[in-house]
Amino acid sequence: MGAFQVKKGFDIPLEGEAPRTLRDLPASPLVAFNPEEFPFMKWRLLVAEGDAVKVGTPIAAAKQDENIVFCSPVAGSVHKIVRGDRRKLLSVVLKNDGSGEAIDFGAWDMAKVGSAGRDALVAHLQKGGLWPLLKQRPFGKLADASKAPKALFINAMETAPLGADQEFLLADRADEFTLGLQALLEIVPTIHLCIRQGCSFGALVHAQGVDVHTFAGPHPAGLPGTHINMISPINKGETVWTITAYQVSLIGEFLRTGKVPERQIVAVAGSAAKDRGYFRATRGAQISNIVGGQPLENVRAIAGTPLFGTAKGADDCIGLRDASVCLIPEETERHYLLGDQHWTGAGFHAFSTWRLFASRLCCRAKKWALSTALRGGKRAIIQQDVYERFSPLDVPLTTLVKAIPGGDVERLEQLGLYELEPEDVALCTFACPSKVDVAEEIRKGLAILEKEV
Amino acid sequence: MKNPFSAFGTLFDKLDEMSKGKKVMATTVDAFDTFIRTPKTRTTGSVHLRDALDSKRMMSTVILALAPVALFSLWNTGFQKLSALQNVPGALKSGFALLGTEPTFLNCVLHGLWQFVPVMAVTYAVGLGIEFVVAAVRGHEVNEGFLVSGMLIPLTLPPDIPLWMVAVGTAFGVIFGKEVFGGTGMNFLNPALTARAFIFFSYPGAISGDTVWKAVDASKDALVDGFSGATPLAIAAATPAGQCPVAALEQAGFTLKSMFLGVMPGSMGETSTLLCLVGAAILVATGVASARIMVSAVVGVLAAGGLLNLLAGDASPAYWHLPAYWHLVMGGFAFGAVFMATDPVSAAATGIGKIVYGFMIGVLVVVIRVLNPAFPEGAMLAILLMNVFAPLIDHFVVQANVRRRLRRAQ
Repeated sequence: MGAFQVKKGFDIPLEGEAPRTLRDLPASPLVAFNPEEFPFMKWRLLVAEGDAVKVGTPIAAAKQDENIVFCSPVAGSVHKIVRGDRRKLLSVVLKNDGSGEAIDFGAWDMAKVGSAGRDALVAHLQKGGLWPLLKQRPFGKLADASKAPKALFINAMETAPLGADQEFLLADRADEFTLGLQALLEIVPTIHLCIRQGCSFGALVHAQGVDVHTFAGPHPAGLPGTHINMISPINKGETVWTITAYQVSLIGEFLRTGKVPERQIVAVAGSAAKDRGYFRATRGAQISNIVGGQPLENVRAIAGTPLFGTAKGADDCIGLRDASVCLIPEETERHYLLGDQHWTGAGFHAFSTWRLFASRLCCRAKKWALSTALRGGKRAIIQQDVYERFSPLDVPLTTLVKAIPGGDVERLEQLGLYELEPEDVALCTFACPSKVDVAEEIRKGLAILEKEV
Repeated sequence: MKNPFSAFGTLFDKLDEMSKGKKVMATTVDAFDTFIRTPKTRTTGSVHLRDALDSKRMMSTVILALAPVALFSLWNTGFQKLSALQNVPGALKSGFALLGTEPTFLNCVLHGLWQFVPVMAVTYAVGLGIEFVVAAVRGHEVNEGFLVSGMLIPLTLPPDIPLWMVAVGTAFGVIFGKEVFGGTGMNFLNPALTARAFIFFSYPGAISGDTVWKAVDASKDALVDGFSGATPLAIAAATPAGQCPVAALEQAGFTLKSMFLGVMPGSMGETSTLLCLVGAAILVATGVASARIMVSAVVGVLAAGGLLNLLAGDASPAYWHLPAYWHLVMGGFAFGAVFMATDPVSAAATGIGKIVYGFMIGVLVVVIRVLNPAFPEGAMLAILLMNVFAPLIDHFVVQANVRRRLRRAQ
């Protein structure tokens, strides 16, 4: 129970926020399972090309724990299995026949959830393919059911630019959320529910059996990494799980109906998106389906937000945990000497967090349609304190980023690498004048660390 | 309206095409290409947006902050030269003889340019040459760091420095102060100060004023003393024990005000405290340099100077009696604290580290000036010494964080 004020951080004023209207999309003709969404996990295929699938048919099982499966969100058939080098599974594409034929896992009400016991509940969620919604830190792996985490952090806020508003996603789903929360409480006794300061959504504010914390301030105030670091930082050997409030409501929906949810709400946002808003889309839907067939010429589609997300093509599909798709313009122009956006220019049309551009003086209230330009050359880190300026975490980021290429595992642990996820430092990548991709460095560092553990 | 420089676009597209696979040409073409127009690179990875600031704009901001100091130094260098030549008829070499020895504004600036431009040209030619070669060998992009170093080096040198020394010193500063460690961002010493220190210790005669203004041997004593602020510092050091040197300084024309304004002899850029403050304002307002370092350096000077004032007795050297705030306007302290100590690469990086680092620079400036008979000026040595210690200071700050993490786990 705490009220936290995040001071370090920054809200990038991006143009193209999704208006709060909820509409239905036509069913996606194809959906996909993308194992890349789950780092450090290997999967065993349970189906072959051409197999018929129902809503809820297991498609792949995690090799680390074969009880963890990914279930098909559509009825139809296995369209294509894409493999890469050394037969690495890249994606399983499923064809949707639109029949909606579903496997019945049995409906669970509040009483059954309360009496079933932890193991039965875990098994039930795993069978229904809802388990992969839980993310485990360090490393952002799938949650390991055999080892109780220190705590579960439920994130009911979003501060990333153009991110999907959790409270809007939950609007009609208070009962599902409460049921899902009850189930998770049976599995993990310590739950921290992190909400926006000023949040008035009853099911969140008055949630029973959990510690409710409020957070205020600029991004990354709404990231689980920030919440964990401020409430109960991860120590060596400990694990915590994270999930978003909307995902909890999907668990609740599964429990109540006994069927794997076919649909989820996706926010479509970004300055290059023609039709913005919130849409009920097929889970794992294709980008082209979600953006209503808008051509992606000179436009980058991102599953996630422009500050942290995965670039996708029109035929690619969103991941299990993605709550938004953002379209932003690809940079196509080059600006010439003394031009406004050139490094010698005044910078009325150049967005920066630094007081080095005219835009800081005159355009404070403006929203920006930022493109994908790198806006500079890659250099060694010159300004040594930028990362700390943009990160509220108690981690010496600059020292850590410099230590990663050395690969000294003990040192990386000491500096707190296992407290981080790439997402937590996305803002540092954004702000770095040397154009160092801090998020990517952290990802590399975690890979080094994971190999040793 | 079409940008007139866009005509270069096609040229560079062709050059890009031609330089494919040729390492040396590619880095050089890229350096000029990205100078004329923004790079065509797009973001990759998970973060799709970037801030508009790049290292080019950051470095040019430092040059902008140096501009008032540099422009003033042009006038001042000429003014000092002409003032010194007033009583030496026929001392001027042919070309300038036509202009006369009247220290008019134009005349001063012309004489200043005559002294400053060759030094700067040699510095940039040598330094940038090395940068381009090293970038080509490493296959990196050419770094902008030297644009600042190349401006700093001439400003820390006396106007009459032989150009070959400038070349050797610059080469040493760039190669051993920076490139051997991996280039800008990897160095632990400020390359410009490394260059100056090299010249200072290798050719002490040239930098401390023995050979200034060869053209006018007869009046050597009255002339510009090339040593970094040595004149007022030397007067302070030479005052009899037990007296306050202020009177002696003022008698010699070095009042607090004149030294603050900087109309006095010295290394080209470091005489005017006022214009260093203008530069500091630009650097702090834009967030490019750390105000913490500057402020704590000033506090360090006042603390050390103040302590000496307190301890000073009748028998103690005169320098001990000099009011602490006089140190702020004397010699190269202001220039060093604003432009050299704040170099983000060689300074301490952590918040607390910056305070310790700045404070210690201030203390050491006074200690070297007052307590060390060998070196009348301490700014350069104090900053270089603290450059060496900066990683250690940061290490302690980071270790405190590490210990906090370990304690938490128990």
